[in-house]
Amino acid sequence: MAAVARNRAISRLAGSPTTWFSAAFILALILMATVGPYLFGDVDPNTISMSIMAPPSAEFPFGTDELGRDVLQYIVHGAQVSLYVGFSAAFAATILGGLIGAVSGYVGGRIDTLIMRVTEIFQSMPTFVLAALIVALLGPGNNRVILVIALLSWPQTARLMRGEVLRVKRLDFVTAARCLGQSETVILIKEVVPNCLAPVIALGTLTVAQAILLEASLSFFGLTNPDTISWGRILTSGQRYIFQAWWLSLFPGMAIFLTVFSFNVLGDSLRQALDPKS
Amino acid sequence: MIAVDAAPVLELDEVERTFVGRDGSEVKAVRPSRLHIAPGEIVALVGESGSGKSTLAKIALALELPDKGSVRLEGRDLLRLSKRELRRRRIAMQPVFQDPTAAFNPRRSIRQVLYEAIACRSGHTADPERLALEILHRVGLTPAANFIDRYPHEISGGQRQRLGIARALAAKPKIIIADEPLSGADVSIRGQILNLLLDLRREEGLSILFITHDISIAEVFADRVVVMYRGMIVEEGPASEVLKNPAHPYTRLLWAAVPHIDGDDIEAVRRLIIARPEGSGCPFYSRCVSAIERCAQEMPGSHSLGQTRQYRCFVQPQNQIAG
Repeated sequence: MAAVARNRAISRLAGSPTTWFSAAFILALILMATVGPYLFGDVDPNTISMSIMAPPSAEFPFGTDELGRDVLQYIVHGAQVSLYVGFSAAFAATILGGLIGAVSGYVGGRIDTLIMRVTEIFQSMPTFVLAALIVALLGPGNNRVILVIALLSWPQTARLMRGEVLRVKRLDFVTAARCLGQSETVILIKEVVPNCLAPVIALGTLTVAQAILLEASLSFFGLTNPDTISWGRILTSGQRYIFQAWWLSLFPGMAIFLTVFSFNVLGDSLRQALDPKS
Repeated sequence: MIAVDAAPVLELDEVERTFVGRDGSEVKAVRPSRLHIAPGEIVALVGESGSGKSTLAKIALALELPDKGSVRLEGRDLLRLSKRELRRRRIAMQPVFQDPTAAFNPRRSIRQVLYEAIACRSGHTADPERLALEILHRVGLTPAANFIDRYPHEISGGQRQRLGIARALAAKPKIIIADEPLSGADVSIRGQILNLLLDLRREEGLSILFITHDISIAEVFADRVVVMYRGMIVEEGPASEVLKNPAHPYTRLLWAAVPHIDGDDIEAVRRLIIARPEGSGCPFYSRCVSAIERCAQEMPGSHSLGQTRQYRCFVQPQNQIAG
């Protein structure tokens, strides 16, 4: 399956224009976050100008805020935070959930039952309220936000991974490895897990979107570090002037919307493309 | 060819396995059974689906633990070995699977599959590539060089089943346990695979435990046939004798179901299908035409027929209703 299936997956991915758009948008976003700030001559985005709440113009394509700061610059810098938090949280959640799910599904029995009850407890809690509460208690900071998001997102990945492991561990090639004298740990790592990864990776992409959204929501409510520039934080100041300066809400809002949308589309397409049954 | 006096490669003694459902209901998958396989012997384990033959095969491979009894491979009781020791010893018996598609990790090339098995051999192998090519050649995947870097899903179903046998051979086993290895293959390929297994037995002295629902394969292929019904070994003996003159009504039924039947046999099958309420005695009672009252209450013991054959039935073969 490996080589052929991978090629088939890529060609199927390439089929849809929405997928193309999403992939292109995410690439552009990553570029923007990494080299974008230097395009502005590395000026401090907090630089105050005399144009206060200026509407979009040639000089300030996305307008300025109540202190005369450039909204475009803010969005470019905000992309760094959103992507950093989104990717890190999704990565941590996928690793954590993947490990827990793999062990749960492979070992089975009481350990499996226990782990599944724990994931149910996590999944039945209102994510945002809990995230807000934890951040409020622990204090702001990107890494804490990442930690909180990862802690709240792993159960989904764990359940998916467990289901895949349950399916794969019954296949004959696993029995064959056992009859060749492989230990259970080696079988899990070398035979089972590699054949469970496709849907988990797809879910990881969706988790990036969830994490970005959660970070934006926390920022919007002022629960992240006030010194870091983030899309959610621009929205907070924007809502105070929504009738005088629509650009303060529209552009960061669009940035969040398009980013989350793109990651969702890409995750969905990945899931479909990697699914051998489709 | 069959060294009957030699110590058996694989000995299952008084193994039994009962599955308990969630509602507490019990299924006796394997009733106390004994199965010995001599070096170089081909044993066909025959029975319908649900007869416990696959469970018995799993017990033989130490993949399923019996509730009672012992499984000895080359004289060592596998159930008493440490995990590490079991992993080392079990390499001497290798499975061949029913569905060759699920039998291979889709991420491994044929080379990787064979290297992995070769690496399990005791002792160091200097040139795994040469050995892998030899084995591919041995199972008829030729020219071997064209196959070694392909993936199992890139070759045909019949070739994949040969590859399954190649993997088993690569581990240098004493015995191969094949669970319905022909059911996925079409008729011409079945013949080729049976011939390959016969060659391997002749040239390498391999023992083979061959699990099948098709008693006609046992006739042409096996030295000894073991017939199972609902977890009980109802009859066993040399294949030619058992099939020429079955001693157990169930063997007669299986033999009559083979599509070489004439009118009388069809009538026999029809009579045999008429089911009776289940008793606490012989598991075959509900479908047996030769049943007597005693069969409903008591479990029949094992009777010898000549030196080599055994069957479990209260009714002597000559008094059974002909099938």
